[in-house]
Amino acid sequence: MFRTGGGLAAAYFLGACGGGGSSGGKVSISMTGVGSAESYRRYNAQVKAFDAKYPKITVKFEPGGSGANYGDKITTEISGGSAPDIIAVGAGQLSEFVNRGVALDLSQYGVKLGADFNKNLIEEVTIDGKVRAMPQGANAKMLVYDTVLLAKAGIKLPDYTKMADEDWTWDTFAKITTELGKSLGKNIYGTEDAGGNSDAFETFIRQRGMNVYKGNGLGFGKSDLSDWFDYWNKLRKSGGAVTPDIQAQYQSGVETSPLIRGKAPFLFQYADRILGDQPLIKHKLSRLTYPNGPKGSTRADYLTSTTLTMGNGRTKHPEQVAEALNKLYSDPAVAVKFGVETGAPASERTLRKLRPMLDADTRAVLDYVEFIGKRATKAPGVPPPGASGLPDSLLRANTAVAFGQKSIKDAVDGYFSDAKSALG
Amino acid sequence: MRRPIATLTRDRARSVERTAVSRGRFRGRTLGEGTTAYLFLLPWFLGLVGLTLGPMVASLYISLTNFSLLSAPQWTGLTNYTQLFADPRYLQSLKVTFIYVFLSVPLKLALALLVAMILNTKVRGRGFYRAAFYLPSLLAGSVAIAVLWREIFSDNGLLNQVLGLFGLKNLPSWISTPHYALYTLVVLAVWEFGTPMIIFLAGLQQIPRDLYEAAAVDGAGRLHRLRNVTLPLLTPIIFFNLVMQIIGSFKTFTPAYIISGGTGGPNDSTLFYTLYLYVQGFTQFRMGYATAMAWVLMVIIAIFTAINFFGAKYWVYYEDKGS
Amino acid sequence: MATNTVAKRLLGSKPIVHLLLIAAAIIMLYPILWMLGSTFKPQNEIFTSASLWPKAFVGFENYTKGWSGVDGHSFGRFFLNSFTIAVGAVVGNVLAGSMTAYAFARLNFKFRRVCFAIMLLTIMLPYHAVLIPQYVLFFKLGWVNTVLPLIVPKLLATDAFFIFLMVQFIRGIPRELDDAARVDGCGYMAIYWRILLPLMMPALVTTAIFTFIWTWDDFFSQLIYLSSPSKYTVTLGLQAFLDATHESSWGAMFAMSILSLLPILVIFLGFQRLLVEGIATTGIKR
Repeated sequence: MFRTGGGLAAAYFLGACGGGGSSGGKVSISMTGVGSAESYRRYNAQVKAFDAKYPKITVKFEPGGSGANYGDKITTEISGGSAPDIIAVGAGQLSEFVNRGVALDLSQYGVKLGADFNKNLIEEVTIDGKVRAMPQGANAKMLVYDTVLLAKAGIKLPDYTKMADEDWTWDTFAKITTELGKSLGKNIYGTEDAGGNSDAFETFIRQRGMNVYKGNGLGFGKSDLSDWFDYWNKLRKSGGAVTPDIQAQYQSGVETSPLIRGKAPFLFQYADRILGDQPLIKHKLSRLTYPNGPKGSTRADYLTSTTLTMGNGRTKHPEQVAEALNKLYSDPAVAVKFGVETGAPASERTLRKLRPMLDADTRAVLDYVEFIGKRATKAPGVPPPGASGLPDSLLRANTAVAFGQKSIKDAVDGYFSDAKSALG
Repeated sequence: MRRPIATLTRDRARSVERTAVSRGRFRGRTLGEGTTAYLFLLPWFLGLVGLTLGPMVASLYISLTNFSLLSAPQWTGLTNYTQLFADPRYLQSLKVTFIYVFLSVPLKLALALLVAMILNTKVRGRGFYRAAFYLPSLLAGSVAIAVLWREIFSDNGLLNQVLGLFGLKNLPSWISTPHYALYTLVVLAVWEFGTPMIIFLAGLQQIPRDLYEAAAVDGAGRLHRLRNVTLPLLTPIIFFNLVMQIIGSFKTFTPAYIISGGTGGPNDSTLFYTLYLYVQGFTQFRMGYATAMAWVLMVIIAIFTAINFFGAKYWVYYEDKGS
Repeated sequence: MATNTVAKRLLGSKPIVHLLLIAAAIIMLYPILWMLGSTFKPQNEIFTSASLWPKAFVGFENYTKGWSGVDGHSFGRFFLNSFTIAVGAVVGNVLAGSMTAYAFARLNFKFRRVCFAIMLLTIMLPYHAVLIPQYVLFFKLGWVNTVLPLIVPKLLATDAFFIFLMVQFIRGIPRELDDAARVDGCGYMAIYWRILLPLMMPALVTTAIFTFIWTWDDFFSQLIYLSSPSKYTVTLGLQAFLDATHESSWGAMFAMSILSLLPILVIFLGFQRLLVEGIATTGIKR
């Protein structure tokens, strides 16, 4: 009886795939993406260029909402069986979609990411040897800082291209931020508290030659996390990192961050975000890489596509979807219309075509991404299924330590038990 | 359309003995009472059966399954329900929600009633005041509220600046300190007292003026009138606001969502029940578990509502029974 | 009026009442003033200055930029869409709600208590739990990306909040009035239409105000059910100014938020007058 129930439920939910239709040999497929009105403009331009060049397939773009709203809408549509044929997803959730059969296997329909694409990005979208999504753009972790606050403290940092690895380590970072905390006066600190930031933590772990995830489990030990929490605990005590209540205010947009609120000059970000940060603050912002590990440690850098575009595994037109996806991101004439919506274009040829059209600020972002691309080591790949709640676990663990609600040992144990139940 | 009312008086109404209005006398002229009732209930019944009940039953089924939203539900029986009470974050969300309900509902209703009574008088500019006091509720779920609350309760916010004038220094950011964050949301709830206030105002309009006049003739004092005329006649509305505020507060989602950016932070101190439900369902893809949470919440709310209805017999006065 | 004197007794003299009211009103108005100020500030001043007054005045550029909307559809379109949905919801809640309330409050029928309990139960289940099955239902009906999922439920009296509200109001109206009308030859329909509806005007006004405002402010169901920018409502238009990862147009967002408050303020101010005079009660004399 229950089996019948399950079958009925399966028929009720996730039924048919929405969108799409064909008439007269011409196939129409639907597409959705995340962002603001400005993002929609870029998606539409890209789709328009595609339609003009490839008349056999018509792609229809519908905006999906911004931030978390997009996730709610698209998840509802997927479980209702009405999701569009082409869907933008966060890199952190791709394996979840693959695991549930929602992400179309693009390799099966002949999609290959050639040498034109950055190696890291190919590594990211390839799961078990199959291409599961197209990278929207190449992005890299970047430390943003407020040059005016630094100047006030009499500190001038060299350009990121001229900074030697051994001059820019977690230890130097701690020294500089502690000094900043002392000289910037009361209630202004050296850096945000990135102890709960899963990107910063990942860099730290990779510099130790490991990855956050290994297969379907964690790739590091309790002592690594303990060292990390300890690092930030000391920084908070020395006044180098902001107090926990200031850090805890930073939970929605960047406008709530210590950087924009003038509380601390350093913020752990991604390369393209500086374009959104700068308009919110009068002080001139500048950039550096995340700090390096101690001498002799591995470089952690890699390029990532923070947003990916996948085909809906339940589409009626898998071939056309794969074809459209391929052309949308690998045909420079089409992909160039997407601009720098989610970082530098993933394909080299598109990048070359786009660069002259951009302003100086945007070109600076591309330069930085290119710089990291040259330093890059093997990408960690997308997180395993079930991992989507773990960045939040890390944040909670660090917050608990910062507020003195938990000892470092308890916080580490808490994170590991969260990970155990989430990753199964 | 309004003619009959103008001519009807309560004297006239009283002259009609209720007992004389035997159902039989009117059955010939109009449809039977039961049939009429079903006709009037038809839209509601269609909505219930066509739109509401189906999804509810489906959600009850989902609560007994492992449902990732992305693939079909798999039957797991009561597993979701038994897991709930071993989940420390679930218990935290229960605690947060209960504190919130028990603090915000009485405070909000008391303030709403007080202000409604003042604004029901002939105070000059009462239209402006009503609008001003309702304004926060107009903004209820907007981003502006989230920004504003940070402006007020952050480390260098309005509150700390005011307290600073009194020499208080080194004050925390109230909105993002685990001990206080929940209470700033209680303040937010109380500040948005506009909805029950308007309902009280509407209720006050319904109290016939002649009752006050009669009481005045009887030489009743002002407070006496408040206690013997206004409050008793307002009890159905007080009861309504109480029941609905309790239901609404248990289900509170938006304030915590927008102010903590959907995290329930810092460190789960504002992890409301429905927020945790949402996180489980939509960000962790555990819809079966989330739905089980929903049904437990429904039972909790139903118990509180049932207690309310039971207690109402002792203090709520209805005109339709009274005389 | 009696309550006036009560207030006096409780709060002392009139000037003090006014002083308190004005102080309270300022606290209540603060967010609007802050938002209004922000619409005239350059983007880099909104979050970095605590002042309500813009230091560098940018003129109305946020308003013109905001009005241009999304995907070639201006905010005028979104206002119209929001208005259509809100009016549909008001008609539904007032008509279907009052009919249902009348049946529950005044008529005897089998299973009345059971039905009433079921009605209340339907609003106790959190929205997110029924969202997916409800979405599937509307999708199968072919209603997704139309306004139907936002209006039809109201026409079918699914909003128990207002039904219960109206039940309480009807029960506050003496039953002798119905009985007298019946002696005059009124049927149930006439009692509902000619006696109760006019007498419960404060409740109907309250229902209309709240339904309009809540529908206008609603975000989540509009997000889920409407996809094409041509069908966007004001709240959907507003979120399109914000971007989680890129530059958000805060100034334009606040400018359109201010504009989007105007219609609901007008509706509120217009309707709240009906709560002043208590038109329904003037006819009743003891």
